[in-house]
Amino acid sequence: MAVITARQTGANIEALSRVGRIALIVPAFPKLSETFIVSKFLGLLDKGWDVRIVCSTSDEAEWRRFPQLLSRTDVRQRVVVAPPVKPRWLVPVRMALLLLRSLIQRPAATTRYMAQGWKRFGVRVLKHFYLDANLILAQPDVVHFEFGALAVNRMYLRDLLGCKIVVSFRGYDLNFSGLDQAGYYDDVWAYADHIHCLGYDLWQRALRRGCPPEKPHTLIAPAIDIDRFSPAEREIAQNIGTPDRPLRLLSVGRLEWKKGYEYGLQAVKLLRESGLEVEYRIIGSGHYLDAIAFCRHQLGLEDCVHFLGPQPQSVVLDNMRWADIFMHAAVTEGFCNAVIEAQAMKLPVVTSDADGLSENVIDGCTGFVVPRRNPHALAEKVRILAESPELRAKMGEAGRNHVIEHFAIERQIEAFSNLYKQVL
Amino acid sequence: MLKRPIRLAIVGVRWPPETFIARKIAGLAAYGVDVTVFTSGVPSDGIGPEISVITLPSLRHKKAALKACLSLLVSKPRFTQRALQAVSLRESDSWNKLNSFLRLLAFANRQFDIIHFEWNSAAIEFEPLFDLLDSIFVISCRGAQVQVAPHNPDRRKLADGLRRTFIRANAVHCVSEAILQEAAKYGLDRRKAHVIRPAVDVDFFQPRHARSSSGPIQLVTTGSLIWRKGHEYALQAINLLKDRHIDVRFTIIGDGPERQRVLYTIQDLGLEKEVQLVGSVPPAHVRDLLQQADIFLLSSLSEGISNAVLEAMACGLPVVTTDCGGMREAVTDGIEGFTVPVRDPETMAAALAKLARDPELRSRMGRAARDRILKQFTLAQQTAAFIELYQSLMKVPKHN
Repeated sequence: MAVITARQTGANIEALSRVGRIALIVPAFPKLSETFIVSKFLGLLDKGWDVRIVCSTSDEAEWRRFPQLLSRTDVRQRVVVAPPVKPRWLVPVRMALLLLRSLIQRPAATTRYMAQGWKRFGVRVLKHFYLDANLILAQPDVVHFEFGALAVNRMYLRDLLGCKIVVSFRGYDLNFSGLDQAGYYDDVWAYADHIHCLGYDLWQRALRRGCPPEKPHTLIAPAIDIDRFSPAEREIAQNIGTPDRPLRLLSVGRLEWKKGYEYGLQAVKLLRESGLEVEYRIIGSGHYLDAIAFCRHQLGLEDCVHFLGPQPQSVVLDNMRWADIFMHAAVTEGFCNAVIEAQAMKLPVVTSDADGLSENVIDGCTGFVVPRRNPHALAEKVRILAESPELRAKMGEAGRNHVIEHFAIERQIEAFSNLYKQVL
Repeated sequence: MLKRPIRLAIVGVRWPPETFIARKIAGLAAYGVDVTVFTSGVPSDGIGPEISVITLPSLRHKKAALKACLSLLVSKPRFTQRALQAVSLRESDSWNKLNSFLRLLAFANRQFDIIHFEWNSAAIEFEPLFDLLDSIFVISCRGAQVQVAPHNPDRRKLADGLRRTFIRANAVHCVSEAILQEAAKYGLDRRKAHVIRPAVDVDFFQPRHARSSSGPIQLVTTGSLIWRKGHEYALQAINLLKDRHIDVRFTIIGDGPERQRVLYTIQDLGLEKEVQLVGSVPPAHVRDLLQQADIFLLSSLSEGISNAVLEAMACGLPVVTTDCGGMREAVTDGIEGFTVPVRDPETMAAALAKLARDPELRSRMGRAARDRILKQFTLAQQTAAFIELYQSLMKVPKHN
């Protein structure tokens, strides 16, 4: 019922009686590499939650990449961007206007924020107010930091806004952020009402970084909308690895050192040395291209490795239909949506065992999981798959079933919905 | 001392300059070369009384920029006009146009025999100078800008820039034979290429007299925390040594954007006890750390020729280095240490294990390393080579 109401009334969001108000905190929205936030946002709206996205930047060009957002009239005003801090001389003016607006629209909340904030920060409360004004106006019941590092030093919001706080840990936040600063997440562990991790492995890391084991937490894996992934035209080629029909490998992900592309390239080199012809495509952009392109050159793979740059979902799907095997050599990884998508497209996956990947792929069933930083192991498993069309077909089928069973968006939204209900 | 003075302009260094460039400049100045350094930084203290340092005008210092413009419009209208033409052809963005125009103005009132671009990027950035000045132009090829960056498909323009500037330069200085060969792929004519290898201050970097033989084996490396240094592979090699129950400690000197990566790898491999990150430290501290170590490890994926290795060798350390760029020109496999393939932690660990288990081998190779530096890589030799290069260029008529 809520679904229909939300879509029909569109603009008038205040009028809806919703289950509860939730503010999702992200750095930028929308973002192609963080499509899961978009899916979650829309899913929760349809479930009747009053959701707002509170972000620092929102790029117009990115919006155009999301037809699912553009087709709905009720979402634009739910995305609020932090007021700019430059030029500096305009900040006091903006702040005065914001304060006025906040006092008129939310007199009680604003007074509470200022009074509590004054006790805590003194005059610096104004600085905090400037950045938090959007949250005061939104009056959320739950503030959800979608990445752990965003929550550091923000736990005061619990008292100042009188809200509950949920913090998500998705990978890099536990793996790198503040590694050399003792007690980096201490206030999060102490004051967050609920912790969300993508998987068991990340929860273990959270424990190692000081999270008390009794902390309320939920493991919710990432999810995809299975209907948008149709592997229908994918056919399993018989004799591959020849000059006529090279083995087709695909990787999708930002070009960063974390993704371990260099180990993948070394594996390709090993495969070639063993007489297998390979064509390897990499989709994604990032500042690590210098290193990856140099590695390709150093290993003499310029003729068989192609950088396709950043590509829209449709091209990614075309390439998933094109490929025989999806390879993911990450050194560290939260969970990896691209690997879920590849499995949904019935692509067998050879992946490293970094973090959540061993929960994402079932070793020996939907693909192979090998030790990270190990090109030999990658090459060996790719070879096994290349030699057996039957195995590729079987693992591909198993992959899609695995995704339907465990990573369907409906289940994920349901799980988040339950998490918020529990917190409230 | 010099019969005829050389007026030399060093262009495109940061401030303070990288140690190896500062060393070269100081060496030349001590020999009587009249050195002027152009830098985009704002020098707080000089590197020597006889060296003049000029900050390039930029839009960041608006007042100084305006003053430079006005005075030159009056005194050198022709130069100003030609500089303006040159930049308007090159740059599309007006901010860049103005900035590169301002930078060129710094050269208007001065005469130089030699303009030496210390990096390929500087030669490309200051390309209009080739037309504006009647000097001899020298470019230094030091490493990544020739060996790495042009392979990035997004940086094709850089390869074009290398080609153009190699044609226009009167001479090209390469820090190793390996980099010369790489530069030749971008049209560098061998006849104008000169290999002058870097140098070490052998009085400063000295071996420690006695090494204690007890306790764990001390490995050390110096290098920015950037991917080209291949720290991740070194850490894997350390992990393999640990698996073989060889008690080692590894000290990484240097800082950089990939600190997180190094920290993560240390934690992921469980090497918190074995590996120590000391960050960026002053040269005297680097020397102390080198003197306390048993073996120097270089895990780089690409190098022109590593100054860090030369410094370690001067301190009498045996070296395990990847076989990349010009490293073989400093380290002969089996003499001063071992060369191992890039991206190969197993072989690297095997070489380290061999040295770790054999103190006699370590001291033999360490002595050989120091000898090699004394023979081939001293500051005096480097200074003499540059002076000879500059003098020979000044003898021949310019522009073919």
